[in-house]
Amino acid sequence: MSYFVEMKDITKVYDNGIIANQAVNFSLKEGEIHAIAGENGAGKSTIMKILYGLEKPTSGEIFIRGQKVNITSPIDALRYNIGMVHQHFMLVDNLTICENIFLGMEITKGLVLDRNRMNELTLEYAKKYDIDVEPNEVCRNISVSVKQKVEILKVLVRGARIIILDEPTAVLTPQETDKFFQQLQLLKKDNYTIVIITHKLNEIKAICDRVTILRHGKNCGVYQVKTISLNDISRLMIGFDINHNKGKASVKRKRKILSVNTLEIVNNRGEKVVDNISFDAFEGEILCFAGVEGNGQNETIQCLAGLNQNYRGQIIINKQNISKMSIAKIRSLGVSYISEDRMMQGVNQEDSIMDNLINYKLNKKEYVKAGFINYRKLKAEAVDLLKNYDVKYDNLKQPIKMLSGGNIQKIVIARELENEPLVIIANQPTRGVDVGAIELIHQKLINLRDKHKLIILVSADLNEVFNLADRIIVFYNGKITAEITDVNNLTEEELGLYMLGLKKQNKNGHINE
Amino acid sequence: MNKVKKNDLIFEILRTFSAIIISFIIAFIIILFTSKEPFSTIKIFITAPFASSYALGKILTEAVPLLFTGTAVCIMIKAGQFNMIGEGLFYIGGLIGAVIVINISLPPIILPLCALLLTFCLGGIVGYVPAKMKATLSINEFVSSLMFNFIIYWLGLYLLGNVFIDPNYSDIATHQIPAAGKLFFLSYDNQVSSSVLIGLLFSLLAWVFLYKTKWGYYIRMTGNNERFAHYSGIKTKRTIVYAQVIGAAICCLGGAAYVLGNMYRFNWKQLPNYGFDGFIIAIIAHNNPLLIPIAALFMGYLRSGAAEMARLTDVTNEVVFIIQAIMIILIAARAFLYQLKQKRIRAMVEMEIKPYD
Repeated sequence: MSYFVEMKDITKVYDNGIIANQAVNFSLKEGEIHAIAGENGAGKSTIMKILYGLEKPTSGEIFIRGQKVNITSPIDALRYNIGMVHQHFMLVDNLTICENIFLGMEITKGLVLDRNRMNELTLEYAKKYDIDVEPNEVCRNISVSVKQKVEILKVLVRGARIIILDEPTAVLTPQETDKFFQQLQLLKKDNYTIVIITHKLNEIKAICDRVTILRHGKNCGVYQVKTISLNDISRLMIGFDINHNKGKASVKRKRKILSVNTLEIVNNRGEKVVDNISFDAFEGEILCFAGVEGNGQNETIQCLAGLNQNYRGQIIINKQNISKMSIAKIRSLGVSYISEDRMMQGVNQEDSIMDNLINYKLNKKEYVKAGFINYRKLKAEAVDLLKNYDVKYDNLKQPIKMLSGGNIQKIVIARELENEPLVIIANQPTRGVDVGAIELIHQKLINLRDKHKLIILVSADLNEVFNLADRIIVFYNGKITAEITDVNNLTEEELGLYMLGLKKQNKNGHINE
Repeated sequence: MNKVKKNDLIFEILRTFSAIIISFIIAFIIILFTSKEPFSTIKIFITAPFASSYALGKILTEAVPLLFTGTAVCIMIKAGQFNMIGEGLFYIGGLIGAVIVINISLPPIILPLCALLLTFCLGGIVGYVPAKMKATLSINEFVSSLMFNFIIYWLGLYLLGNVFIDPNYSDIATHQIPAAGKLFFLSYDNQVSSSVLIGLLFSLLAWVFLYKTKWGYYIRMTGNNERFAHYSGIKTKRTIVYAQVIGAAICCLGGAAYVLGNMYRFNWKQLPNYGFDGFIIAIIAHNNPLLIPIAALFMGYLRSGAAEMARLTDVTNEVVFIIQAIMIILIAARAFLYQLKQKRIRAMVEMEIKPYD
């Protein structure tokens, strides 16, 4: 039987010498939902970016309905009815939903835009696929899940018959994910072909017809989802079995380390993004901030780390009010911060591994004499540290951007945890890194928790939350809507209800639905 | 990975050289059109700088200002600052340096060093103003430093014409620089002055400062990724201020060093353009202070050849400015030779892949 799309022997070598795909074959049948599974860095996104014309393959051929084609840009791809929704949405915040959807292909009546027609079309598509959007809403104000819907509508309106979705559920709650899958089924019914890039195994099982598994840039096989078990997929993806059970040490609450009182943050558009929240945190616990992205967790974190000092209320760390302290001073109290924006904030890409490891050490006399940096001492420490964290590198002078994402994140974590700080703020510590690195990072965090440190974890990955958290506070709309101390008896569904604001605890811990 | 890095280096070098060769070829075509005896002209352009000890000295002398301004620009660009104030400060540094040694009597060597120190401080103080304006008021340093150049230049010209002028001299110029105030010549024959050593010293010091001290580290981190620097607890505003202050100070001192080393009176009535040339030198040297001397000497060679060509042939030295401009365009063009580089990387990686298959 012939395939709708066939990619043959695709090899992609990036400019920096990284091999993303190596002789990968990939095929799509019309009207199927096809998963591309693999760890981060396995080359899933790259192969789809090649199909979508964003990346040029180093070698290999693409056939659509048996015809050899040359796709060099997304415009080409759309000509072949291929559309893609990226992991990071590409919407213009200042425009309305409808304007975003028709951006670049506006319908006009003479010289003016035909807004009514565009609104009608938007609603028509939305209704057909059970997508709930308000065309005139400005994109800045809509939630991530709506943004995703807008992206899908954008692709549909542009006439795509093949829709590539890159990690579509990463930003969704379990309930939103269910709804999203129903919409995908509707699309499938209309003979749309859908590709889902994912590393979430249960989603593959829930919705996909076939799965292509990639590992280290190579194709490890194409399977009918019905005939392959989750364990098999997992083993093919990773190459070995991993143990998901991390087991929580029960550490008794002792000393209060962090206290946040009536914190209120107004962003630069004048919106109250954190609204009068208070909480305490104690040594020896992993406190998790759960919530859909954009509900105030990040803003709170920024204040704790001293990156934003424009807030009302009090933050007290180890009995000291940090509101007027410099970042360096806050760090010297024993606060470390693992940034969620690894490449832009967590490291300095252009500079060497060494330079990226020493940024906190130059305040200390033991490393600097009369302004001169004692590189010999720092180098010895760096070598030990990187060995301890199993970082793969050639030499300390190579630019850090030459390393893989997982190795870069290990370096960031190593640097932040090196001195066993009192408070570790970990913002998406394992986002976009491979399973091996995740294991290591989790283990290091747990070790520190067991050494009576406080770890504040923000993570969009609910698995991570359930694996690590000793206590969860849920952020919704800038407020804390729930505090969960008994994480073991919490279900994903219940957490989802809190995250969506459908369920709330009041001050006494009672639950309002 | 290491191989890829080595590959990078080879291509940086190859790229720079190809740019130079192509710009020479274009220059020769221009000479071909403008000269009646193109081949002897070309020969003079290329070989004259090496033909005599005087011409060789001329290379070094032409390189002196560029050593200082190139180094200064390096430091400022490393902090991410495009500050043009070096132009005006080089001018005023020359004037004030001359005035100091004319009006103060101290023993030789000590006197010029004292002048260098004072102009260094002066440059730092003046440079502080646009730097601080950038850090606290977010006034673009590029614009403000260009305006400062006008202020400094007209003030300098006013002082030269009205206060420090030597009325008994036929030109608008200061009094003669006394022997005690001169930076001694390394060789009287070709007039190479010890100012060139001071210039080299500053390039070296700048490298040590940028790569071996914590202040240099702060500058590099701030310039490459201000968010990372801020997140790391580095006071980025303070860093961009002191980087510009140091750059300004080096330019001002450079002006004094050049005037005391290579001139007999200060008589500039226009901005000498050395501050702007500093940017060219920094670009050619890839912002590495250790490569500044090479870039400056190369530029010195070009200018020396041009001067000889203008002296001995029918082509004027304007041609050298055309060469410079073409060269910089080529060196700065990142896409240049990119295709070739990609092919090499691919071939290397493919060789690495094979044994596993």
